[in-house]
Amino acid sequence: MIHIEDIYFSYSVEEDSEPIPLFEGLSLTIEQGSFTTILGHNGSGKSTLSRMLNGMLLPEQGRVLVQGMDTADEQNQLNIRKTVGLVFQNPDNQIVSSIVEEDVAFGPENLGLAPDKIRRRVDQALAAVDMTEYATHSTARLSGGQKQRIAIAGMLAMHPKCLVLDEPTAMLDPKGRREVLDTVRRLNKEQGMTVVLITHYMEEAATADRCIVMEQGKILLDGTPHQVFSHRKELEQTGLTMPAACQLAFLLEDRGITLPALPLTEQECITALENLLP
Amino acid sequence: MPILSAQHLNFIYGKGTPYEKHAVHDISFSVEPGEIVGIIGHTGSGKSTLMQLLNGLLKPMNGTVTVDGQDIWQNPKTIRKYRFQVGLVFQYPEYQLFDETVEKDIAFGPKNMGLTEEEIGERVLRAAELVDLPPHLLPKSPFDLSGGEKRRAAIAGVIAMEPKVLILDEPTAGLDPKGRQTILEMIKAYNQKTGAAVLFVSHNMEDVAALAHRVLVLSGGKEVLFDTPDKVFAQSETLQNLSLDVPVATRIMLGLKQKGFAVKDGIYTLEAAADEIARLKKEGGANA
Repeated sequence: MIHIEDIYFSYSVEEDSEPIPLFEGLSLTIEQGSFTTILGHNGSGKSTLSRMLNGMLLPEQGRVLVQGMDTADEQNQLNIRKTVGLVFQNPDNQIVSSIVEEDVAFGPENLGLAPDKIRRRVDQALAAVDMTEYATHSTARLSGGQKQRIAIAGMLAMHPKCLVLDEPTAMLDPKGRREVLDTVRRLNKEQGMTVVLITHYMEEAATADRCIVMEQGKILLDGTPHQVFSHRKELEQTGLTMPAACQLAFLLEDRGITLPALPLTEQECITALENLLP
Repeated sequence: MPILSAQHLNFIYGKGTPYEKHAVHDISFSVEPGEIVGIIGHTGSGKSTLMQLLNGLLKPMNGTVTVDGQDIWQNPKTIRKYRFQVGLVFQYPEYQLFDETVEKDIAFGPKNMGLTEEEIGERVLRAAELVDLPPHLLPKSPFDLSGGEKRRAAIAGVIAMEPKVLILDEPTAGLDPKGRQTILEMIKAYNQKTGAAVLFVSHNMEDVAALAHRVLVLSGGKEVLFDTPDKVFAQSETLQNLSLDVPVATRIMLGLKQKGFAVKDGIYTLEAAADEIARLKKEGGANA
């Protein structure tokens, strides 16, 4: 789906200051239909990487290919933006209209589609995020979680193949977070949407197909959540916390109790303990 | 005597209009000196309104707020005094940083209290130390700091007024795990070093479990529970009905209990859960 080939990128803190290198030969492939989470601290390069995936930022060296299209080629720009949709952290910064359905229609209108086609896409997108009943509501009166789902619907109306979400739940309460995550998981499972989710919440990472941990512009760990979270030492060194179920397993290990496999979710943890306890 | 007390507080937004909302409904509770209270409740439960009532930013329709035994609205002309005594840190307080340097920003509150330059200088240093901001950051522009540092600088601005009660609205929201840990440790240290009472609103039950001595649960503007964390988190059904979570440790222990294991009630930290599981393993407490 997306190939990142040996990219270099640096940024400047102030206008005239010496640029600080971030990516120095980073390569990464995102498979079609996969659900990938990217973890790492602020400043680890996660957000910069997400903006490389649809050409919002371009690498200084190396290239990023989206379904074979080079993001550096201006002629590909519209097609790439249609293919990879980006959703950001702050729901309030992504709403452009005062009415929900008009907001979702903004993208397809700019594609120059016929009105009946736009109508169909908007209806489908709102249904996909379970917001149909809010179609004619005012965007200002929605909750944070509803706003994020509208932002996702706005992307879906462009018929992307891949959604990239940069900490979409950071500003939401637990209910809003669940709404957004359930929506994204469903899109991945039912429609085969490729998802790249950047997050600080380890519990969100635990249910992905693949988990990547970034540190100072480099990929520190890459694998299934089980593989990645088994690296207790490396994760503790980066200061990232593990899912609570893993933490409990490690606390038990310190007390001389070893579970047969590392649990990532509460349910896995309860099942493992049920088998272990007399 | 409680340092802060609310009695039968009521507040209604837009009274007499179609948008009338009874945001705070007959809430009474008190906080002892040196206590840390966690306030939980989902969006719209009245948490923010309550916080603003507690330091006199909003005036209750009826009911009273007392600080150190004094009714804060007894003489409305002296209300400012109580805003210094009950320090309020809003959500995303770093958006309120405004001055040229971190030092000046922290000094803004104490300056408004009419203190001498010397006293202001001392307070700025003390506050910066309490939030763990190194002195070399003080002459910098607040906008050159990292996200976590900005947040701590903004909190220092409130701490510099040396309030008897510090109230924080979601102090860890939007921070990365390292930033979150630092803020939590800072709150704990501040409470221990100064003896000030701390109230904090959080959506994160793990944060509440780690810090709070008592927990206030709000729903629809009403007080649902006010008790120690073990007792509050033991009522997981009540909490889940309010679409609130309980800490993961509590959920795992409940899961084991449902499978017939004789686990103790009132466990809400992972450490305590690990100890309890170790005990069960050793003593074979299953189905006992």
